[in-house]
Amino acid sequence: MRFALSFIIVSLTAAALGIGSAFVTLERGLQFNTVDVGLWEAWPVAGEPTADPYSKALFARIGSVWMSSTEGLALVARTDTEGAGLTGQCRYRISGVVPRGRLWTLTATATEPRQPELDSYLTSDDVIWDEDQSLTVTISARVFPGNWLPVSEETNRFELVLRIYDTPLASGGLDDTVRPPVIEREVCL
Amino acid sequence: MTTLIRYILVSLVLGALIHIGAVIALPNFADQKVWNRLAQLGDNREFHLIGDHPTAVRLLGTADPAMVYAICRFNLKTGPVTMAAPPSTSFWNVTIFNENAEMIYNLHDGASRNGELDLELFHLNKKRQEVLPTIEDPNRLAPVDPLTPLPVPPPLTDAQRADLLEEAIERERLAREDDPTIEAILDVDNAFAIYKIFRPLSAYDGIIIDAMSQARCE
Repeated sequence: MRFALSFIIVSLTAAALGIGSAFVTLERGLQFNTVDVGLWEAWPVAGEPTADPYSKALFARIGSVWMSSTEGLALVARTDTEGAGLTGQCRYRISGVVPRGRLWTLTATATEPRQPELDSYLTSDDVIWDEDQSLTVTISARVFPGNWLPVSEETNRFELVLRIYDTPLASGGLDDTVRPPVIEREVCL
Repeated sequence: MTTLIRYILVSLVLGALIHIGAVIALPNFADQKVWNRLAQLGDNREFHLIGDHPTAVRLLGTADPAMVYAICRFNLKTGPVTMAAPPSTSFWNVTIFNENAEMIYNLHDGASRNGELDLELFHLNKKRQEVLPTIEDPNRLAPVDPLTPLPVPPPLTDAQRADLLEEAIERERLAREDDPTIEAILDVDNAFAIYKIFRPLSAYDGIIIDAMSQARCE
């Protein structure tokens, strides 16, 4: 009788610990195989059968397909150079060189509240380049001359996704020499 | 006291095992699976055009608003899949995912002739049965006497080698022209293909819709 009772207690504790820790790990998001490139994050091995079990579980849980390395590289930025979250109430300036690839698209994705219909984008086909082959983009709710990526003032938080298609960077070569554009806050409303 | 410590240790070890098991098993039990959501698109073995970006996000979790998406679900066990589409804009790609939404194959427009999509997918086991020569087939397997040594070809001069190489390249080129279909062998039953066409400006919508409506997945 005593054995049965202790068996049940131990099993319940173990189950609570195991499932609880798995849940907490996955809830916190992708911590594994994240590559930090300046302000941007990338998960080059996610989305493939060889990905680690945590990435697999996370993508299965959120039910999402992710760009794999043979397709290209997706870089995600959530903060500006000062570490503050990106918000539709501020104007930002992105400047720098976009890593090499056949084609890239830069998307402002409204995350708080999540409104896919507000997602805006610029692509390598329709931007104006600076003389030194670098790029300057203004992100703001109000129209701005030059390369302008519109966001909504109603958006509390957005993230920037830079998708570079057909790039050698995705399969290795993602190191310190790669410096994707920086995101500086200019003014806030 | 020692009993309590023993209980704690056993709980921790068991908990670690359960943690690993839960993480590994989760992809198989997730109810949010992209594969399941795609069922609402309609029939298998058909490209379904995803009309707008919010729909693409709802179906796939993440989507590039600069791309127009078409999705085709299929089971390779029921036969090979042929995908074809005319050339469209400056960039397109086809990505094949398994049931757990893990990428297993990817094709860019750069790998195809004239920017046309022309792809044939085979199931690994089916293809293997097809290509393995059978003993009964005399044309495929010439009889070899195990006691006779195989003839050794004479060494080639550099010029001959260059000629042979050139010949082989030319033969490959002609073969490509003859049959530009790209073949891929996949080790998976259920899979889905995402066909993306780059949409630089809304002015290209006509071309893209045209290509998408002609796209076949059968």
